[in-house]
Amino acid sequence: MITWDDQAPLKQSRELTGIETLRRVAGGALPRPAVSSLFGWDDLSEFDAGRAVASFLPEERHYSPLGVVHGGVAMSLLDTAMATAAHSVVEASESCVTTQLKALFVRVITRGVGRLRCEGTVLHREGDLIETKASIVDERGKRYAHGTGMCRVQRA
Amino acid sequence: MSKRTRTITWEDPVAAAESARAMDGMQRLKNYAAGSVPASPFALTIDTEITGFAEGSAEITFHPAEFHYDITGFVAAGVLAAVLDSVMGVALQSQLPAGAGFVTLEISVNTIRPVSAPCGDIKAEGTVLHLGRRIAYSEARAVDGEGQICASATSSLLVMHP
Repeated sequence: MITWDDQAPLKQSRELTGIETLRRVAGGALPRPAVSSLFGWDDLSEFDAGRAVASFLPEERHYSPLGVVHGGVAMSLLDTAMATAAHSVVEASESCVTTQLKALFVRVITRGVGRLRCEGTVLHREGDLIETKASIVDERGKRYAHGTGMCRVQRA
Repeated sequence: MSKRTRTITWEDPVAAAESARAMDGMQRLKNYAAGSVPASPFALTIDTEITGFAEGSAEITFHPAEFHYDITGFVAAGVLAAVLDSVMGVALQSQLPAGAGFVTLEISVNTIRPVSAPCGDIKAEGTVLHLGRRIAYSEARAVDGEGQICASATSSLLVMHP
């Protein structure tokens, strides 16, 4: 069973800086993003300006018709880490939306690989565009996927 | 804060993949449409269904909902990417012989218009551009009920023959 909270308060948090929004979500004053519950991410326990970490334990609900973890799960984890990192550098009254995601899948993910960790970082911000990257690694540092992203900043 | 819950049930995906190995990809899709091959746990988790397929192409219907939202209050770009990755995989599957499998090697996704529950059903269409012996190339797009494009993608996939 998947449980999440009404997401409306997140949309109403635009007067906060991005990192303050992340701190309030981490502290429980704002709802956790629903997609994190959908996939079972452990996110927002490690972040600072320009960097965010999300991790998860692969489960059967992540499996594709081919009997392994769906590539879309890895893409979503990369997206969460990169979008959270981008969010950590936006000012009050700004928000950012992902406009591009690219991923390379290096190894197949199964339930046997243990907890996977994904660190997203901001490479740079140029005007309204924030460029990010992220990698998914296991506890021994073996890499499963990596990606780059582009977010566009919008003003309220 | 008001709590929402959703219960998902699925069938053993490893057993399903094993028993489908004897079928070619098109037969497997026909059996899925007839209900004798189960939907994958991932498709049930993100709430998509295969709503069309032909030789080298496929359509998936995605029902955007609050449970897909990220911190921006819209469907996470990663979820849209997953839908497009899925539809390109199904399009490829329609052309594969029995026993063959595949994995996505690389994917590039443009998210063009934000998607949220009021958009209604999103249709994703995937097409195989080229199927080589080892590598396939495909493209996909996601369109809302008014025909507006929401996302597009291209990918390359590794085909594994038995």
